[in-house]
This record gives sequence, structure tokens and C-alpha cells, in this order.
Amino acid sequence: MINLKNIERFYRTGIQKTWVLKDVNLSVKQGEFLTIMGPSGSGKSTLLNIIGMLETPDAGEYLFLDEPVFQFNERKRTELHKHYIGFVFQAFHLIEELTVYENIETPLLYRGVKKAERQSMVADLLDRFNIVGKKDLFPAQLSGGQQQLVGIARAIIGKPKLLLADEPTGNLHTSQGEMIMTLLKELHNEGMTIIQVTHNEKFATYGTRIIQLEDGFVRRDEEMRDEG
Amino acid sequence: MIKNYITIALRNLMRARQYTLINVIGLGIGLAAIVWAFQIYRFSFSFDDFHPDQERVFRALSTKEGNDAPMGFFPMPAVQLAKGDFSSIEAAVRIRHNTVDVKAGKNEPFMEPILFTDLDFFSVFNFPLLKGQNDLNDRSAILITEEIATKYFGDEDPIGKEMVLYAGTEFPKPLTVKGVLKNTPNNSTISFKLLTNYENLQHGDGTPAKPDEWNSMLDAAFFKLKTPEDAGRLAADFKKYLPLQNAARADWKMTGFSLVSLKEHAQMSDISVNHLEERPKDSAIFGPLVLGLLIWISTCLNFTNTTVARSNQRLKEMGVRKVMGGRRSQLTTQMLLECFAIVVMAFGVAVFLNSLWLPSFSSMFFIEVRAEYLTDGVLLAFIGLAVVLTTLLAGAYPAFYISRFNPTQIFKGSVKFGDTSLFSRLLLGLQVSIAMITVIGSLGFAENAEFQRTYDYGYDRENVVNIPTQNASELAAMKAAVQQIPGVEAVAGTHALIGFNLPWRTIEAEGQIKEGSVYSIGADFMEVMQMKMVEGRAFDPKLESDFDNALLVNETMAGNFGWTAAAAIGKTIRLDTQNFTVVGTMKDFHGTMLFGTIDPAAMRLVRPEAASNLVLRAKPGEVVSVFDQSKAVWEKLFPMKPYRGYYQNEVAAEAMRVTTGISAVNRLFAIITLLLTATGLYALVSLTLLKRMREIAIRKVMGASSINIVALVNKRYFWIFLFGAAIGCFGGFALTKLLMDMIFKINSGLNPATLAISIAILFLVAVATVGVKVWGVLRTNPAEVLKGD
Repeated sequence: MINLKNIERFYRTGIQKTWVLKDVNLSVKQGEFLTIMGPSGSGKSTLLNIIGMLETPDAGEYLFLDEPVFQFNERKRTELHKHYIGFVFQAFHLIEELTVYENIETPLLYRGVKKAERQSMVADLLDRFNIVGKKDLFPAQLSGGQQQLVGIARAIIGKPKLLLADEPTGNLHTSQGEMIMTLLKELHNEGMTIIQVTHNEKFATYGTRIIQLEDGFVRRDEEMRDEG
Repeated sequence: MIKNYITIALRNLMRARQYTLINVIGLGIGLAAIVWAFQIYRFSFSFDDFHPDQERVFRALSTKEGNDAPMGFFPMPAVQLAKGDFSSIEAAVRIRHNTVDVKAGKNEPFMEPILFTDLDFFSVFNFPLLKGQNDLNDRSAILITEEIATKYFGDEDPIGKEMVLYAGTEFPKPLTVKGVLKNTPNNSTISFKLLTNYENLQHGDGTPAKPDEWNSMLDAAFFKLKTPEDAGRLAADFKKYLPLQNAARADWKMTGFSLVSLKEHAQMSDISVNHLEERPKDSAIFGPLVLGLLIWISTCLNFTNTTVARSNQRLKEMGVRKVMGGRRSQLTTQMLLECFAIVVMAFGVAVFLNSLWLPSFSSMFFIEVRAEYLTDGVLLAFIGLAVVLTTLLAGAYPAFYISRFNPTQIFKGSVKFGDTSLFSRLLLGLQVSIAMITVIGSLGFAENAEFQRTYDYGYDRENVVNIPTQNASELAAMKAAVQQIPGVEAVAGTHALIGFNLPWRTIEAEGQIKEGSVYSIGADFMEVMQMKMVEGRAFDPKLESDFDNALLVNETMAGNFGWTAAAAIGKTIRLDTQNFTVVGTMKDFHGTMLFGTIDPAAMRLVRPEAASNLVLRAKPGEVVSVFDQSKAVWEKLFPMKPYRGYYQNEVAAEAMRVTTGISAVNRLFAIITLLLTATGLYALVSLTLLKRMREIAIRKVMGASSINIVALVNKRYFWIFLFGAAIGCFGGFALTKLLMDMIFKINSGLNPATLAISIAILFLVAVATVGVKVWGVLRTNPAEVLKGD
């Protein structure tokens, strides 16, 4: 599904280059649950942004579903990520002026989904995540875990093939974090490809594969045994 | 403390150079505009205020049969008689304007405006003497202004030099320069370049004016009274001169007099047949006043909005200051001081702008506006007030707004920025309205200029040249000569000209007394002017009776008497004591400028001996060359006389100059207000984007397209913009139409297309402004924005 070849990302300080990512090669198959780990500043988020097509590397090649992403124009890229990719953020990034319902509905608006269909899709998700009673609340009225639930609901409402989660549990208590991870695992079991960035060793084990980034290099890449 | 305030203020302004520059220039324009409007206002209402005893000096006005409007004319002999008859009169001044040929030394003669007056002139009026003496008792004396001194004598001392005035060419009157006066100020109703004793006045035939010529009218008469309360009674007493006057002028029967003080007379702009200068018309005073205020308010609004916008960058600073113990009043003072610094700098810009703008405006409209910042106490006080007001108007809201917040809220980031504030958006709406008004004004007057340029006056004004002569023989010689010029199509001699004479008379028919113009024209005049008949026939010089009692009327005059064009034929009309028969009705023509409506008019035929003006029509496109050739012809025939020819089209020039001038001023102001609106909008949109950067980034990540984002950003401005534009449309339409109607009785009005174009212009400016800003945001990477969280 994802094929990264010789990805490089750097910024210049005077005449020196400081590498954020160097010579990263990564391929992710459909249905994998990949965890990216590494210390702060190791390039985890940058890598995730590149995969999510929010950032362009300085060099390298990226095939998404066998299509060369970097050769596309802005519009085509927006189309790709609109239809295939969902995002979950550490800081939730809900729109404060919108209710829970409206936040979840927003991606559908951008896809031009009809109103009746939108209603049923949002209702399904609210139901599934047990937040039906909260649908008219604003993000500020929710706990962190509930906000992240909304964040995930919003990310998957468009049925993306790939879910990118940047430290989804970073701002949460452990118990809330486990709830979120369980949910991600469930989504994975339903066949969604997930890539998450995390610091948490324990939450890393929810995935099927872990890569360790250090100073922009992929230091370790291991498959987990599925515990079933 | 103050020093600390100032240091911080200056540093802050230095840091935000773009903001400072925009506002210094913007407010500079606003201040320049109100100083301009204020000076026009002051100039207009300062007429004659430099004379001492303003309350004791009165101008005598007269009224005429059939017309209640006060007129400037006054019977000449009555002035000196009154001085003898009434003890309350301390001084009396006759004023008569003429234009004479003046020759000094070996120079060519020039035409100059001269004023014939009395000994008391200098005891009533204040026109300072620079050199020599101003004794008008000396009949051989002529007093000249500095301008004339330089024009005729250059660096030489003019005192004792001879100047010859000509009444006609044959009747020289040599006078000696005895004194040099300061040029008359522009805010003087009495304006002259040469001044001499009334008795030096010569009629066209060389005869000197006599003191008892009751048929002779003064342009103005002034009396200085011992007690001003006597004025009313005196005016009534003057009626005793009416019989003498009316016996001498059956065509100009006066019905009474009034005395108005010099101060009051200077405020009047509606004296009919007034040959003195007048203050600018109301429209020329209040138009600029409204425009200046609008611009000023618009710049203040802009300042307010940009300052609020910028204050978001300063919230943290304010929070820190508060934590460090700054009281709200101190923060407010600091902010206001920054505004004040900007306003003071803006004033510098205003001084500079006005140094360019005022002279060009003055030359466009003959309204002398100057700003003597250092010597003019009233202006200084006004500027002081304007600076303080501007600071408060523009700076108060941001200053109180920013200093309001609680520091912990600021640090937590939960302070709501000002973009959603209805206040800012209303200000923007108001700015849009103002811009709309000026844009409509500019386009409307441009349209009017085009309308007036092509307006059909009812005669050919494009190809006609008028050449005044002084007697029949001159005219005959000139006529024969110009007929040889190949580009000339038709030539005629005439007494009256259209548009340059006002032969206003009382006209009587079927028991009704009306007024109208009666033109005494030569036989071929109508053919040269290409004026059309509607009914009946034109004059026939072969019919002796046509010279005696035939009359043509125009449609308006026929209508005034209740006749149709056809019914007018054969009617009897009485002028003074003589009866005329209408032989034809002419198509209406515009006898004056477009400031007025079409006058009722009649034509009578004069014999060639009575003609003094030559009119000639050139072939289309050749009028300029014909003009030059006829000048050459004249100079060959009469080398000692100045050529006085002029284009008939000059009748339209004044109206054209006014309308194109207004259009130009409006255009300039439209550009300014559009720029101001653009900066205001830019500031607000920047603010919105700043605040919603994160939201926009999230939406982009969720798949929002560029169009979604543009709609999101513009949604809250769209309605206020539309609302402002609608109000502006209405205001612009009303104000422009009002101004047009005030100035021009004949005008184009406003076309719906003008409104549509104005809206389109404003809309384009808005789209371009918002577009630039939003484009930048669309191109930023959402990941960059979200990383900060």
C-alpha cells in the first residue's frame, strides 16, 4: 500500500544541512498496524506527515496504492488524502465552534455526501462509540478521552483505507489511553491500515509491527507476533 | 514614566513598520482632507472680513419690477445725492467695473479690469497701500496693484509713470500712476487691478460720465452709516429717487431698495445681476466638507481596525505588563500615546500632501485655499483639535479593548480575538459605504462631463468664433477680411451674443408681465449659429418693418405666455414702450451655461450700424485655424488694438471645468477610500486568518478544498460588505444627484450602469485584497500550523 524509497528531509542552518529524515525506506502492506517509535526529534511526526501527504520530502519517492504521490498536483493529492486517509492528533484538534455531531460530520461535507446519508453515518458512529448523548455538546465540555473519541470518529467517518494517528494517547490518562488503543485495535481487526506514532512502549504492542527511528534513520523494524 | 512611555511607543512603532507606515499615510490623508475642507469653509465665510467697521458699512441693493430678488445694481447719481440728503451717511462709495484697453510706454495695449470709484473708497475699505499715495481726489491719478506694477513696469519704480486708458480706440485718457496697492485678496467681493476716480470714466463714444446720468447703473453702491440701526429707515427713504430713475430707464423699472451690511452681503450667494465677486456656492463649500469628513472618518476607522488587528500580536505583552503590575490606565495611556505618535507623524504627511493638493485644487476651482500652518492661529487650533480627536476616535477602542483582558486568560490562550467583533465589521461596512459614495461620485460626474460635452445647446457652439469690435466701421472692415479666409462658412454682424450677454428684460403681452432675454441680432446671425425655427419665419432684412417691430420668440417664452409655438405667431409683445409682432417661434436654445435652465428668450433685428460683434462659423474641424487666421487678419488691420476674439464654445467651458474638476477630485478621493477600504479589509481578514489558522489547518487535513476555505473566511465579511455597499449605493446616489442638481440645472443624472460599475469596482478591490491574503494561507502547510500545539 505504501512504498517509501530513499526519503530525505532536512533543513539548512547556514551552509549546513540538519537531517530530519535520512534515507528512509519503508513499505507498509494493507492491513498492517504499524507503530513508529523513537525519541523526541527523531523525525517520527515528519515521517507521518509525509505519509499523510501533508509534507513533501526534499528527496525520495512515495508510492501510495502504486501511484507516485509526489508527481501529483495539489488537487490530486487533496483528492487522495480526502478519500483514503484519516488523521488523529495528539491535541485532538477539534473545531471548538462546532458541536460533536458537526465535528464528525465535517469531512462528509467536504466529500459532498448527501444529508440523509450523513445523518445515518454520523449516527452509526455516535452509537458505536457510545457518545450519542454527547452529540450536541461542544468540545470544551468533553473530557480528553471523549474528545479523542470524537477525533477518531471524525477521522474514520469517511471510511479511510489508512488511519494515521500522531500520539493519539499523548494527552490522555492511562485508562483513557487504553480505551483509545483498544478502539484502534478493533478498527485494525476490521481491516483498516493504521500507522501510529507513540512514546508508550505498552501501546506500541497493540500494533503488528514497530519501527524505531533515531536521528532520522530507521534503526529497527520488527514484526510483532500476533497474540490473537 | 512619560519618557518610558514615549520610548516604548516609538520602539513599538519602529518594530511594526508596515503597520505604522500604512497608518501614518492613511491618517495623513484623512487629516489633509479635513484641513482642506475646513480651509474651504473658512475661506468661503471669510469674505470681506478684513475691512474695519463691517457692521457699519452697507451695500445698497435694488429690486426690479416683476422680480423680487435683490439685485446688485444701483442708480449712479443717487449715491452722491443721498450723501448730501441724509446726515446719517458718513461715507458713500460708487463702484463701477469696466474692462478697458490700457497702454503704458511702448507696450502693446492689454485689456484690464478697472474700478471707477469715489474719494471715500479708502475710508470705507481696507486695501493697503504699498507705495506712493492713495488720494483719489487727484483726478490725474491711477492706482495700480503690485501685479500690474510688475506686468507693465517690471523692476522699475512705477510711481509717476503714465498709463493711457482707452474708451474706444480713439479716446485716450492719460493718467499717472500715483500709488501701488497690495493685490486684492481672493476673499474680497471687490476685486480690481486698476483704480481711479469715478469721473475718469468715459463712455464708449469718448464722452465723460456725468454725475446726473440717471440711465447709468452702478455695479455696487456702499454706504458707511454713523449708526447701523438707521439702515432700514434709510433704505425706505431712498425710494424718493425712484421717479427720477424710472423716468430715465423705462426698460429697468426699480421698485425699491434694501441695505445689507458688508458682513451679510459677503455671505449672500444669491444676489442677482451681481458684478462683484461672490463667495463660493453652497455646493462648493458643503460638498468638500462632507467629502473631507467622510475621508477622515474612513481613515480613522481604518486605523482602529488595523490597531485592533495588531493588538493580537501584543496580547502577550499586555499580559506580561499586567502581571508585572501595570494598571489598566497605564496600559491605556501607553496605547493612546502610540496612537498619538502616529497621528502627529500623520500630520506631517498631511502638511506635505496639502502643499501639493491645495494649489492644484485652487487652480481647478478658483477657490483659494491655503494653509499657513505657522501664522494661522485658528488653523493651528483646529489642527490641535483634529489631532486629539483623531487619536481618540481611532485609538480609544483598541486601547481600551486590549487593556481589558485578564493576563491568565491571555496566557491560557482563551482570549477571543477581535475579528468576530461586530464593531470592527460595522466599521468595515461603513468604510465600504464611504468608498462606494466616492466611487459613485467620481463616475457620476465623469458621466455628467461627457453629457455636458455633447449636450445640444440648440445652436452650433463647436465651430463659431466671436470677434467683438468697437464700431460699425471696424466691424465692416473685419467682416470683409474674414470672408476671404477659406475655412469660414458663414459670417454675420450682431449686437447681442448668445451666452455672453444677459439682455434680461421685462416683457409684456396680453396683460401678463414676464421676464426674459431679448437679443438684438444681426440678419444672418441665426444662420451662422444654426438656430432653427419651429413655426413662422425668420427675419428678412429686406422687409423694413422687420427692423422696426418684428420679434422671434423661443418655445419657452411662448410657453410662458401660454401659447403654443404656432399660436404665438401674430401676437403682440410690448418691450418698454414699443409694440412688436411675433413673426416666428424658434426652437429652444440654451442661452446661458448649464448651471441654469433654458431661459425664455426673444430676438429682434438690428440694423448693421448697430452691430458690434462679428460672428463667424468655421467648417467642421477648422475652427482653431480660422481663429488663428482671423487673429492675424485683425492684427494686420488694427495693429494698435488687442484682438478680442473668442470661441463660442467658451460658454460651455466653465461648466465643463467645474464638472470635470469635481469628477477629478472625486476620482482622487475614490482611489483613496478604495485603498483605505482595502487596507481595512486586509487587516480584518489577516486577523481572522490569524485566529482561525488552526481551524483552517484542521479542515484542510479533513479534506477541505481551497474553495471551502475561501468561503469560510469570507462568509462573515460578505454580508457586511453587501450591506455597506447597499447603503453606499443609496448614499452615493442621493449625494451625487443632490450635488449635481445644486450645481447644474441641466445634468445627466445617474445611470443605473454607473451604480453597477461602482459595485463591480468595489467588489473587485475586495476580492483582490482578500485573495492575496487567503492565497498565502492556502499555500501554508497545515502540518506547520498544527505542530505548534
